[in-house]
Amino acid sequence: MKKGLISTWVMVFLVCGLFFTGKVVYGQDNVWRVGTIHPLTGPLAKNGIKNFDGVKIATDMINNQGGVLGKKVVLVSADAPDPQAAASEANRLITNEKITAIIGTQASTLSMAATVVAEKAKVFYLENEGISGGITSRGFKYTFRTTFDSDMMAYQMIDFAVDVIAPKINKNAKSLRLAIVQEDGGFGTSTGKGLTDRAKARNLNVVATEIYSAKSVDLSGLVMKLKQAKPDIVLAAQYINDSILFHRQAKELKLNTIVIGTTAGQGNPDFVQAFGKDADGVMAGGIPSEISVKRLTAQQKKDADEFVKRYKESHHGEYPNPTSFVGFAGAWILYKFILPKAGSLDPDKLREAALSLDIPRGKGVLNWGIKFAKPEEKNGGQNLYASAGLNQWQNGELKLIYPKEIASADFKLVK
Amino acid sequence: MRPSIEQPRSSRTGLKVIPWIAVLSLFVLPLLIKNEFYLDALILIFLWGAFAGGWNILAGYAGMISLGHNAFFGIGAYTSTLLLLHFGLSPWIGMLVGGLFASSIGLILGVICFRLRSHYFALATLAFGEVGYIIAVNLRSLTGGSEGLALPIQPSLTLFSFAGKLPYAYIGLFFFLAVIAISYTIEHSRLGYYLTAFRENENAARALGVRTGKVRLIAMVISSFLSAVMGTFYAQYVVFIDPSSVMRIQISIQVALFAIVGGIGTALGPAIGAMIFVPIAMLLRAKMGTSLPGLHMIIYGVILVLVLLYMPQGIGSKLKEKIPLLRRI
Amino acid sequence: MDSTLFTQLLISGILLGGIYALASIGLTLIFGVMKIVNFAHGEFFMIAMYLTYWVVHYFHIDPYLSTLILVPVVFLIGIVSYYLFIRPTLASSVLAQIFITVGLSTIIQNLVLLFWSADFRSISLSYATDSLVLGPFPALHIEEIMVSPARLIAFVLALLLSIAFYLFLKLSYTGKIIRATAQDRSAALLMGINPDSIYRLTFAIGIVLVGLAGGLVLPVYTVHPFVGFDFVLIMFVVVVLGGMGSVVGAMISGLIIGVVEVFSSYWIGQENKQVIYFLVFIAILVVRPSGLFGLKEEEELEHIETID
Repeated sequence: MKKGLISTWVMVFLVCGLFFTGKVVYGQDNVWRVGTIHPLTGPLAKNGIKNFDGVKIATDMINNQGGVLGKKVVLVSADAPDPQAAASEANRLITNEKITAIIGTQASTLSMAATVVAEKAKVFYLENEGISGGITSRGFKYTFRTTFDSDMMAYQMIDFAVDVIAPKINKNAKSLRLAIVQEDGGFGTSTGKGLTDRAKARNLNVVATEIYSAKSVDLSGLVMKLKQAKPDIVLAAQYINDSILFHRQAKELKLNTIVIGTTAGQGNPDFVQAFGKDADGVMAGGIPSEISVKRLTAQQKKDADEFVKRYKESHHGEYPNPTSFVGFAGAWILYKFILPKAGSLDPDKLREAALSLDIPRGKGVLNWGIKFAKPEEKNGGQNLYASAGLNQWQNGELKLIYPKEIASADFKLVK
Repeated sequence: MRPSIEQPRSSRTGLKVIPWIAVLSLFVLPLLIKNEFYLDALILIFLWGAFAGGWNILAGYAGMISLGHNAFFGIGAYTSTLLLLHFGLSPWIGMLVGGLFASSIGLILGVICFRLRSHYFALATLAFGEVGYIIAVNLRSLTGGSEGLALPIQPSLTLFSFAGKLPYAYIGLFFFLAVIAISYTIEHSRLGYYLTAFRENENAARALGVRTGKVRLIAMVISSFLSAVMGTFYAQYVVFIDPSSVMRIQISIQVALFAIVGGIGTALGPAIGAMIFVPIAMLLRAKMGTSLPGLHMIIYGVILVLVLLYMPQGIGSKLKEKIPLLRRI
Repeated sequence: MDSTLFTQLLISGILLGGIYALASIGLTLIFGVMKIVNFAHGEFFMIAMYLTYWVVHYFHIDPYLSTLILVPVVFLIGIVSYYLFIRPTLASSVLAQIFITVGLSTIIQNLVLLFWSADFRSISLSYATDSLVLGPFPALHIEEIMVSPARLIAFVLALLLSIAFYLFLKLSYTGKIIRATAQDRSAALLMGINPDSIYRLTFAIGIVLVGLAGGLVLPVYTVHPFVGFDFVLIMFVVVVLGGMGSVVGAMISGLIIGVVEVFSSYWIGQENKQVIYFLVFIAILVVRPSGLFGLKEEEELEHIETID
């Protein structure tokens, strides 16, 4: 009996002991310790890894330039395959790793969960890619988003369709027939909402709105429905594999229409891999595909070139993926603008520094400016000077065609 | 002369006291853990352990294996959250509403599908779970679709929101122990005997007059209610819900995994399963997440297969064999 | 709805259904013979797609040829999986059988994720990229019908393979043994049939069939670690509708489901079509669990008439 008693106690303590294992790392004074949260595993990993690559390159570059205020940056990274993991990992970074500033997260749903933890702990959180409006509409004081939100991107796509494309096909706002196609995940839903709202606001004629699961293996019913609706322009919020499926079946079933997709889908390099010449003419709104040099200063140009060079070196000569651009941009904004002004990783100082920035468009990163909305405003924390851009495949390359000030090519009507 | 088989008094008392000491130490544990990361792990153990316990009531005791319990979890999470967001209803009440809603759906599911056995029932619940996910995604105007719903974070006792983790730990502990207690009570009650009779030999049970349909429906109602309640707890703890976090099929598989490995059909089994797996996942992710994607899922799968092949009664039962005094539980 | 549209949707549905049919035959066969529901069936579909992709990618062999070349490899994978995961569970409880294949599914998905990353991969056929145009058929008031060559090839091959397999089952000696074991295991034992070798063969054949389906659709779909999981749910619907254990049932209901899916995605929207077939699924299970052509033995289904 005694043995049984002892073994029970041992087991109880062993189980409890599980909680006390693991070492806690304390910050060192001569480096900046910045946390990162990305989906590096799980279904969102494909883009999460690319975004993380961008952040890593930005960090290497800044360290190469001597760090920020003389101190190098060290990334403390976390993997978040789903929202609950994102919350737990944010918690771990904050409590165990004593992180006070986090960059993340690529996917909006992960960001929504992680930023809650950061806000409760009053930790500075910089969202560099997630576009859902919800991220900046909860009145959070410590969450900032460096990139555009879904409305900015969606509105631009609609405006481009009406103002630039329509005249070229002899249509106007009244006669133009639009169709909206969206995948039913967070990205598609946020973007689709923006597209629909903008179309409504401008009294446009949306002849079909089709929603589907990105996991679908067959979209022929959807394509046929679009065909019956005869749209002039299809605006699509899709991911890469479903955009490939959609375009394939559209081609098979002879759906002839102009498509404006997004950089998450049609703008992905895999798209031109799958379609070759047939990709020409397809557009993708969202992240500008190139760092247009038209408005950059000499130093900015140097930085831009270096980013591309480093990316190519670590990715078999591939031109940077748009997701990596935007990941880079977020980190660069922190390293070049916010952190130097704050002088420390104290979340309140970072916050103040961020809110005080007023960098005009073109003088920030990637042709963006930097000006964060105040927390009292309805989208507090949003970078108001981050602009989306429209890209188009031309001769196998993704060219930036809009806005005019930064475009590297003109829109080409492809029949 | 005392008969030699009579146990000495001291160890008899010792026997009775052990479970209570274990429970007591659990009560003290949250206070001892100052580190919020480990507190988070503890809360997740309580959450998943309780949910797994709820699943276990239907699958373990009633023998009806469900792969669609994610739907109940999600119903709980969405119901209380929507009531909170639209009507300001306290999640404490919303939790009960969600639980009742889930158990009504569970009742219907049971009435329709209980005539199916084993594989077929599992498949039907799989379809049911998938439908739950699809509805959560498609009813955009109601559920926010894949964008999810954000809950308010202002601390408020009536609104089940707290600034620190400690209150969540104690509430979680309450549910964790409550589910174990409910399981234990069922196991040793008449309901439990009926369910066991059904599981062991259905025809004999019916021949003896056991109302197999009714008792299983009771189990289903309890099981779905508890699952939904834990869904509300999740919503209040993570403060953000979307179909991928509360309605995915993988959630069902995960709780089944915990219950099976811990010991299906036992009161402590799901708890043990959660205590094993949650720390594994968190530690693996913390130490290796960035370099070896999916590793913890592989380990989960391998453990599940090994346990099912070589220890089908679960680790909890193996422990019971080795430690006689645990047999009381 | 005009006849052109109707015919177009019908053709698209049939092409899709042919794939479903081929993929599901293996699943229903495994159940019919061994009474095991292989929840990991979709993962073998996925693995075959990946293997075919690598062969195409590195050796630049035609995808259909690659699929054929890989048959022995997939067969071997089936045999190994049988020994490691299926055979030990034949005597276990239903719970164990279900969750071992579920566990297997998780392991395979995440091993693939670990080794081959989450990237989506796709190939396109170098020949046959333009649609085939059928018609117009003025007599039937049908204008042009477009058919994707890749899907058409996949369908034709799938159909041929399914029919070939059906004939194998019906006419060959081994086929008869398999059917005998499915029909009545004890009687088969009495006849001197070694159930273990039949189970092994059946399982491997089932895996090969779903692997072939995977290879055939590679030119059409993109492959990623979770494509199998998405596909397997449809396979279950097909198998249940056709009747668990019935090869003919799987073939016919595959076609039916394909057509239903395309039509419902047109009528009620792509997003809602999934709800339809899951509800259909539950309805069949409840109303007529033996499906359209299922085995007659009611005790397999243990269908209880009353709820008391």
